[in-house]
Amino acid sequence: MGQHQSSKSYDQPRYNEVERRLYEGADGPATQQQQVKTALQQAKGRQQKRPHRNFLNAGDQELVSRMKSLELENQTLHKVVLKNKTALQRLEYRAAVLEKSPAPAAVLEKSPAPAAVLEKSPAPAAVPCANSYGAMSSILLDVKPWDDETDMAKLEECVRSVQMDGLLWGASKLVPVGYGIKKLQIGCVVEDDKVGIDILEEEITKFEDFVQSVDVAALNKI
Amino acid sequence: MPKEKAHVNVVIIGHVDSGKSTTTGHLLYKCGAIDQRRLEKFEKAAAQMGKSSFKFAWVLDKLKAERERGITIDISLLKFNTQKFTMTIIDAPGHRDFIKNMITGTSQADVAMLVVSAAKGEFEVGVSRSGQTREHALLAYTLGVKQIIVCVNKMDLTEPPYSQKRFDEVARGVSVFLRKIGYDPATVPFVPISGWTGENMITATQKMPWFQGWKVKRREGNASGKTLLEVLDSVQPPVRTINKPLRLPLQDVYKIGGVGTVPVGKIETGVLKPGMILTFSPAKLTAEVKSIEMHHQGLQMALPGHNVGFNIKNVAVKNLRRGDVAGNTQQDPPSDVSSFEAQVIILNHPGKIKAGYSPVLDCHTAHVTCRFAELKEKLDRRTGKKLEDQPQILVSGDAATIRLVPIKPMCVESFFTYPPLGRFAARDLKQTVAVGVIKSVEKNQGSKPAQKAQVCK
Repeated sequence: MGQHQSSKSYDQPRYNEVERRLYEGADGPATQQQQVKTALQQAKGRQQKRPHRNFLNAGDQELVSRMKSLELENQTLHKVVLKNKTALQRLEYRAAVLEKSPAPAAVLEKSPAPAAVLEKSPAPAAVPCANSYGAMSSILLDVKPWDDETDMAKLEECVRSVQMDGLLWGASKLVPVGYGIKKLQIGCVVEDDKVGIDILEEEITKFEDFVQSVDVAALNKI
Repeated sequence: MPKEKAHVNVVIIGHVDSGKSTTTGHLLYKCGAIDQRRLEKFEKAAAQMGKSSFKFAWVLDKLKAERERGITIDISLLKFNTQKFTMTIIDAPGHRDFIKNMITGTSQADVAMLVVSAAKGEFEVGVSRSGQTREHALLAYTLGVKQIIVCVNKMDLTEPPYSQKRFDEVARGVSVFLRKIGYDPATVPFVPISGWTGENMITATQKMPWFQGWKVKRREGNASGKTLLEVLDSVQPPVRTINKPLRLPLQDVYKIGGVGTVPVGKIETGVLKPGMILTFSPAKLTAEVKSIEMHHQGLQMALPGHNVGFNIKNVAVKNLRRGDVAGNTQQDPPSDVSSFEAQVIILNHPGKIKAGYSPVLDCHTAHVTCRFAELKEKLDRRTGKKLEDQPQILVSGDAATIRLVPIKPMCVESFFTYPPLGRFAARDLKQTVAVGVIKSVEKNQGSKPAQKAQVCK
């Protein structure tokens, strides 16, 4: 999973970069830029030689206009190359994503070929990828009531009412402790940078009519 | 009734790219308590989509997706079985509260598993630089996790694949690194594996004929084998500290109609039986245990590791609280401390720490502000040798012996007598600023002997 995630997060910025360049009409990656430049220079060289031989007396104007048209042509060609390259990259990325972490089956059925997917989802951000924004942890909390008469449904409602950016409540169950007491065991997923466990405990224990204490039963990397 | 397997907690440490998730995923997948029906469903779906070759990766991803959405509780527990043990994996997250949780949490690590990548260049990046790996390994050692296992992962990605030379090179590098921390490499098994392809994980590989197997020399006896699973089966289970006096830090105290007062907590050492006279500290109360229950079932004897509730006579709920420690009045009863001496490591403090600094200490279930009364000695983190007497300041990364004074009554013990009550995390600015182990305690002599509890009517 680690490998997969890293490749994903590696591709993302590169892809964005390429896309940005494409839309801004700017130059491609450095190597390509150089290739194009040398090609341009060669073309220029040929252009310069030929007019010198054949149209020596025709004046500079024609030369300049031809140069311009050639440069224009070169630029459009350049754009086409870039476009193709981006498309290829996009295709490769998409293929890699599909191979490694197949999107929900529904998406696949709707789109028989990766190309079709490309048409539908121009940005790879559309690929379900909840964790592209930072490391996440899975936490299992034990939330304990005051006595055997605490309304556990209400307690759970209170816990779930805690909302924070980067916090997602998951499954829960009641676990018997003894003497009729049950504790609420509830899972959640947090983004490491956004949700501190202290804050989470603090927010939950604010419901002091229901909650006696909160313990972390498990804390793991996702 | 079949004998219950001993429980072992394994904390996984390693660099982000070491492939630890894939490795742990493989173990869970092959020996895990993952619901068989769900696995079959995933496998079928994978086959239908023509992903059979990527089946493992696909299932892992699917499980990861489930964990991301928190759908099932079982998966977030990361449990699996070996022949001898039930193991719980603690996959060390980058979360800032992880270290505190490792110290005070309910599942404290018994064994550390270090995963390093043998892939070209990755080992060097992962271990050689000052990364989390080093930090976590050092912490594990400091906090008393004395058993460590090394997985040399990604053997399929060495140049050439499954290279003995590379394995030896990595193993040598890790040995040096572990010796510096304090581990004895002779007691550490090194296993070449591939978490991705599964080589040497569950069954011995054919691809590394040069691998003669791992060997360890331990006081408890030598062990050897080939696969990672065998390594896990050879670890020393946590010592059952049944013979020690009882220590039971309270998590909660309930008032139950028709029953009375019911404190709940995990037994760290010793045994608890009905009829026993308990002393609670720092509450300074004594009471008799009437009955014990665990998961709604009555018990005649509760053992270390059990999370139990027990009914006590003649104590009002308000006289007890989380953080109190129960012990047997007849056998080394717990007592609050006036001060204690601890060896601490400063972790994330942005400034300078001087005598008088007062962070909140989390120790077992207690949560008490303590003053750094005296900075006694600055130490070398690795060797423990003294660097300086009476240092004026401490900064992040320093280790030191310190005398601490709790500002409220608190019950702690030395790490050597009762380990779970002898390690703590110091918190300040919503961070873990230091971790420590308690070397010695000054019991509160001035405190009156435990009084008979107030009668609750």
